[in-house]
Amino acid sequence: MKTLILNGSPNAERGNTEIFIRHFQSGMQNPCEVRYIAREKPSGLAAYLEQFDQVLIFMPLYIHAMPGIVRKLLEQVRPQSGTEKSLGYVIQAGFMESATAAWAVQSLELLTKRLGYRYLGTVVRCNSAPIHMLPQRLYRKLFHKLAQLGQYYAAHSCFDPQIVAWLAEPHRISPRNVRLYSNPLLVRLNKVFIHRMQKKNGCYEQRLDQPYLSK
Amino acid sequence: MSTVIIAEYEVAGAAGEYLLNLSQRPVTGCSGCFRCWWNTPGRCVHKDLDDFYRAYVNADTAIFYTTVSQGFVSGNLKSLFDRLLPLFLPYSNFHTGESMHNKRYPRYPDIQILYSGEFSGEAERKCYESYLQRVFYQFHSPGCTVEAMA
Repeated sequence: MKTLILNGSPNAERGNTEIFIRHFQSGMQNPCEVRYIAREKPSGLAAYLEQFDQVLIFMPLYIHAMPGIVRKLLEQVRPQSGTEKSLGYVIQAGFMESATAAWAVQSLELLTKRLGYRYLGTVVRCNSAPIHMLPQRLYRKLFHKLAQLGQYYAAHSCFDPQIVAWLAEPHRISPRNVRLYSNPLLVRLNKVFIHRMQKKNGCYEQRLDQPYLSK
Repeated sequence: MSTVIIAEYEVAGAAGEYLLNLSQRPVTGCSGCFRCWWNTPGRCVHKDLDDFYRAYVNADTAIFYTTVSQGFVSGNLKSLFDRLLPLFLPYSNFHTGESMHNKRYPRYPDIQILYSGEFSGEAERKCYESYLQRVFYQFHSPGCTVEAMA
């Protein structure tokens, strides 16, 4: 089975999507070729991926679905008939719950079937936004699971449903955690992190700007 | 009462104070740099949508004439949605029991979507319509209707 991995992040090698790919590949004895959607013309890459038996697209979640650049690539993929070729997806999402990716999962499944490819599934990991900014040791367990996902994929050419289920937690925010996250103290604590970045960049005073509002 | 039109296909008689003609204007994709949150709050590093942002946040209504591409939204429209992030704050809230972006502006336009194109089945149509509803729920529009163009 020849697999191609596509990185669907506009940030290419710099960002969380690349970190996910790296840890997924660390579980494989023979790492796959990785190409960057942000760097290539959609038509050329769409033709190139036809040379592979399986294609895995790793991507961030943008507005409940695939980023525009991934959508533009998929628009160029030619429908197949009678093929055993497969497409699978790994999404890292910023929000706290994986349910925010429900529309991505559904649309990718429908699109894959429409294109005549076998659907390998969509792996979703939420609460991933800060990964590239925080000490990597905080994510040891996540990275271990991603490596296991890669190892299982190398052996079986599909995703391990148990690891997929583990990664997808929490699917929704429990009522208890909704109260916790809405606690004014925790809301302020979250803002400290955001404000620190804005102060560092000299734009803290402008943080609530409404530049396009007519006076 | 001001109206913004966002059109992926030609519509006879569409009237609005501002037209974003997506059939002739490819939207630059979001760079994922988050400079609109961390460096120049509210402003995108790309300038091709500045006139649209101004029209959108000051409009009462935004009418989208959208196409159906492979049963889902087109890449160009998806890039436009990705690029709406500067209109929201980096903070999240959980008032509805789920993660939502906070508003940057006092209000956002009501949305009407009229789509043109074919689906291969009912599942695609439902996914398309519910996705568009979700986008503008997340983007704090007070209302959003999604219908097939007659």
